Order: sequence, then structure tokens, then C-alpha cells
Amino acid sequence: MRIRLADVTKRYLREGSLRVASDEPPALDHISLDIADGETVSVVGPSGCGKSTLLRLVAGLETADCGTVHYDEHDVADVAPQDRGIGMVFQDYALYPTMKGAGNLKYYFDVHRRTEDEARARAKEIADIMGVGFELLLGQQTTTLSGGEQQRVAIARCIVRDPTLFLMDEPIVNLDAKLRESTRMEMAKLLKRYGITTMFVTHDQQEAVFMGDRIALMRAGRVVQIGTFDELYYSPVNLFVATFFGSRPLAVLPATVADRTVRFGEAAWPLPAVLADRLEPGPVRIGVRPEAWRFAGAESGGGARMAVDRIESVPAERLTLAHGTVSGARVTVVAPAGTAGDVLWLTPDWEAATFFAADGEHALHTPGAPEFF
Amino acid sequence: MTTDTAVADATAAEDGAQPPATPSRSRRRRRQLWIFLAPAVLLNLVWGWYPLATSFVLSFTDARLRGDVTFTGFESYERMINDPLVAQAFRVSIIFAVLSIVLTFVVPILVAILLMEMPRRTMRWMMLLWFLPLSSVGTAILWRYVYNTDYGLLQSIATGLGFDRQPFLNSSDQVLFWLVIPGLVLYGPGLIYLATLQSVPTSYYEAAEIEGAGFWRKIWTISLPRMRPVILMMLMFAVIGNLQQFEWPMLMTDGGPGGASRTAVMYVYDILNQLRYADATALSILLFALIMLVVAVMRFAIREDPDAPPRRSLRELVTRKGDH
Repeated sequence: MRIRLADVTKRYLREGSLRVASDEPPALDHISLDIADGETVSVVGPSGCGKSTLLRLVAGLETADCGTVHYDEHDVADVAPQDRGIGMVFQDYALYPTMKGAGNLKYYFDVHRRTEDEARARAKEIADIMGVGFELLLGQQTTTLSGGEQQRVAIARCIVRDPTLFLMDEPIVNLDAKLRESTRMEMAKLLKRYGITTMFVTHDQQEAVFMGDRIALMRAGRVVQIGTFDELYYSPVNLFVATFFGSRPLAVLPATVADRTVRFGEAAWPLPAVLADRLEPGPVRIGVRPEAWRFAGAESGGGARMAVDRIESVPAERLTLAHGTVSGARVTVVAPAGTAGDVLWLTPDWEAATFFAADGEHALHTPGAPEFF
Repeated sequence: MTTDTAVADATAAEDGAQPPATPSRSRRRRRQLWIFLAPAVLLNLVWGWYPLATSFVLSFTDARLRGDVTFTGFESYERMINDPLVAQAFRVSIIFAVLSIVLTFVVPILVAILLMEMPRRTMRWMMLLWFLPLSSVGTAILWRYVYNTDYGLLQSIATGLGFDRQPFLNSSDQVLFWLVIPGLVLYGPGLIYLATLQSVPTSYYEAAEIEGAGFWRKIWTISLPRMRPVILMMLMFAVIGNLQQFEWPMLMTDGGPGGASRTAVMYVYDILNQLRYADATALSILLFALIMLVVAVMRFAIREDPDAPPRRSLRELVTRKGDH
């Protein structure tokens, strides 16, 4: 099912006040989204950015102040949550208390007065899909299950009634790291198998990248950028997107463009022709990822001088990282193995560098995904 | 010393593998333990166990204000059991408890559930109205005026509606019913129910809503199960409290008419006023036995349902803390 949101805005009433406080930013601010049939979109962003509100609004648990939500061609403004054919998984699983796992799966069929046989047949079917040991969980009281087990039951409860849209609100955030990994693998498999349109809310960028065909990055009630990981990583629309992704910090260097050269601190580099044609002379900020630096050896004069604070080696990834400063800006670089010493001479890889406005945060030039990917 | 070792074990389990505490350390721990326990233990001994033990002893004597005390065996008990007023007082207490539970116990539960459905602001105001900690003595005196047969509020309503003049508290058949009714507006437990309901995550209700559950189903499958342990506990308290009812009948009817609202504790009080200590303590012990019996029966009857998770011991909870 295709989901389309057009210009959706939602404000919460402030606690205790009857009128909308106009100075407060809306929880959702003119959001437009188009999710294709069968697509999984991860909604990611810092806490309080409105991602959960967005999900609840699509579910019908919240109503929009203005704007429309379409399921395929139908405007669902007047459709109650239970009639939308959705399955929702909550952060705290929200399994019904005093019911066994099986009771949780049967709940929907009870509510809708379906037959006991149908409920049992469906539950059996789901148990086969959910894999080894799942049937054991159904016989147990949900309060005795561990977090991971509860979560499996919650997901099963969600798919048992054949939803046309999956809504997941940080479903695995409460699990420990190892379990999170295996569970997200299992979920990705399920989503692939069913090909159901899915919105997956998370605050974890890795999870978002893993689960989503596309990623919608939100901030302060707006979708800042939506696209594949490559698009967000290599063509960020602004500094926020660029700094959000990547497990190691992006270096942001205040620099000046003049006479087809770029000047940063004491270093100056001639700009490649493509960049020189595009960039206006004046101040800019250059974003360089740790892996996008070139080393000019230990000899002076080859680029910018980096004062190294610490060399860190990451054996699991066979990486050596150098942390330090270049003309006052904090920089982390992926250094060649065996790097030592207090000083490194660096040059940004211009094919992978991003240029941002000095006075705003929007991107002036982005490198785009490398060809070989 | 079992509590002591249990505590030590629990902390050891919490800290993981730990070298065995040196003797001096464990002695210090034990001393600290007793320092913290002392105030509670002392108060309990002085105000709880000492009176209980003494009354138990006194009930087998002929204790009076002065004069020698001699051991008389079950004489006081015999006297009390054969006293027709004792039987009446116990009957009153039991009827009062049953009436009060049947008529008033469910109301605060319903009120709490309905309050949760109201808008926040309304709920706050209603909470203030319903759950204001009213002085029960003041309320009792007010109700005495409400029930006044000559110029009371209820009488004027009754006659206004065309009924005959009602006796209210003056009728020995109706007096207990009218005594129970004011309990409808005293909502101590309601606040506890409301707090329990507020602790239920909203996602439970949202999950049910998405599955198409209506209002009553949500109450039945989410709210009530979550309130169940609290309800059972409040029921236990209500039974115990009502069997010991004293102040309402004391303030509103003084046990009348003709002892029709004289509860067991009131009768103990009457006997005490006659300085018959042995009889009073014997009667108290009888009431104590009755309450213990009722509590035991209730504990047995309302067992946790067989599906409920097994109870976890403290140690299990401590060791399992890590794996969530």
C-alpha cells in the first residue's frame, strides 16, 4: 500500500492551556512524504524531533491540524485506527497483561468475533514463520518473558492479522546490543518476506540504515532529507544531515574561496576546476569525512598541519585513527597503519569533500556517491 | 538471624563474586542493620506486641482497676460468649462490613476508571472534589444532620417527593444501611486506583485500539487486570477496617436504636468503660480471632489465578536484574 502525506502539520496543546500556544514550534511542521508500496522507510532523528508523532499520526492515533494522509487513493482522515489495516509494534511491546502469548495473538480475532478455529490456524501459521521455539512462548504468561521474547510476540501479534501497513516505534531499543542485532536481522527477513509497506521509527542511525530502503531524517518537526543511505551520506542537503550519519565525526573546516584556491588556516590548495567553477569566492565551510583525507607524508609544506592528540587503533575494523586539530578545528582522520608522531600533513580529497555555506548550514556542493559503489 | 543472612546473600549476589567479608566487616554490617531496625522494632514492641500479649494474658484473669488479679481460665470468654449483646454486636459488625463492601467498594473503582476518560483538566478538578481528605468526624456530624428526622435534608427530600416521614437512623432495621451510605463519598481508595491506572502505559490502550477494541473491552482486558492486585489488597483492608468499625456508629447513633448499630468494637469500649478489663480483652481477642479467620479464608479463596507468573523471591529478583 502506498502512503502519502501532504503538508501535514500538527501542534500539541500545551499542558493546561486551552489555546494553541503560537510561539511553540509544531510537533510536525508541513511534512510531505511518499512511501511506495512495499517499501520500508526508516524515520530517524534526535529525540523530540517528532518521529513518533509522525508514526502515530499515520496510525490514526493522532489527528493532523492540517494536511492529508492518503492510503493508496483514500484520504484516511475519517478512518478510525482499527479500520486502517495497520499493525503497530511499540517500544514497550504493550502486550496485554494477564494473557498468555497465544491470548495476545487471539485478541484481534476475539474483538472481531472471528471463529476460534481461524484464530488458531493463523496463530499456527505465524508460529511457523516466527521460527524455532516460538510456540513455546505462546504458552507462557507474557510477564514472564524476556524483553526479546516479548518483542517477538508483539511482532507476531502485529502480523497475525495480515496488516497492509507496518508501523514500528523503536521496537528494539529496549533490547541489549547483541539481541538487537539478531532481532533486526529477523525483522528485516520478515519485512522482505511479506513485502508490506513499513515505517520504522528509530533514533539509531545504524538501525535506520539497516532496516530502511530509504531513510527520512527529521529535525524539529520537519523531514530534513529523505533518500537512500548513499544519497544522505554523499549528498547531504545540509550540515545537520552530514553530521548525523557516520560513526566518526565529520571535520568541519572554516575556509575561504578566492582566486580558484581555497584557503584554510595557513594551508592553501588550488581548487579542482569543477569546484572552482561552481563555488563563489568568499567564506565557506568544508566538511571532510575521516576517510576522505590524503596524506602528504611527514614532510612540511604538503597541505595542512594536523597536531595529533591521540592515535587510536580499532583492531576489529583494521583501522588506525588519528584525532587532533588542524588550525583549531577538531579533525579525526583514518590514517595509514603504523602512523606515529605528533604531526600529520593532510589534504582533503576534493572528490569526497562537501562544501557548506559559512553563514547557514545548507550545502553548496556535495560529492555524490562514488562511482564504484 | 535468617533475615540477616538473606540480606547479606542478596547483596553478595548483587555485587557478583566478592571475596568473603571479613568478620569485623560483617559484624559492623550487622550492627548497622540493628541500628536501622531499632526504632521500628521498639515502636512495634511497645505499641503493638506488648498490648496484644498483655490483653491475651489479661483475658484469662479477673483483672479490675484495683485489687488482686487471679487467673480464672476461660471464665471471661464463657461470660462473653453467653452474653446476648456480644452476639448482637458481632452480627452488627458483620452486617455492617458486608453492606459496606457490597454498596460502596466498587464505586471508587468505577469513579477512577471514568475519571481517566475525562480531559486532564476536568480530571484534576474532579480529583480534588472526590478525593479531598475530609475529616471523617466532621463528615459524620454533618451526616447526622442530613439524617435528622425532624429537619434533616433527606427527610425534606423524602416528604417533598410524597413519601411518608422516614425514620432513618431511628429504625433498627435501616440504621446500618444509612450508616454505610456516607462511605460513598469518602474515596480514600479511589486515589490509589487512579494512581494505578495512571501507571499503565498508553501504548497498551493504543495497541488495543488499533486492534479494534472498544471502551469496555479495554477496561476489561487492560485496566482491570492491571488494577487487580490493588483491588484485592484494598478489599482486604476494607474487610478488616469494617469489621473494626467504631467511629461512625459511635458519632452518629451511639449504637442505637436499642443496640441495633452497636458494633463489636463499640461493645468492647462499653465494657471498658465499666472497668471490666478481663471481659473487654476477652472480647477483643474474640474479634481478633474472627478477623484472622476471615483474612485467612479470603487469602485462600482469592488465590492468584493459576495463570499468573510464579512469585519470585527477593534473591531471584536481585540476580535477574541484569538480563532484561
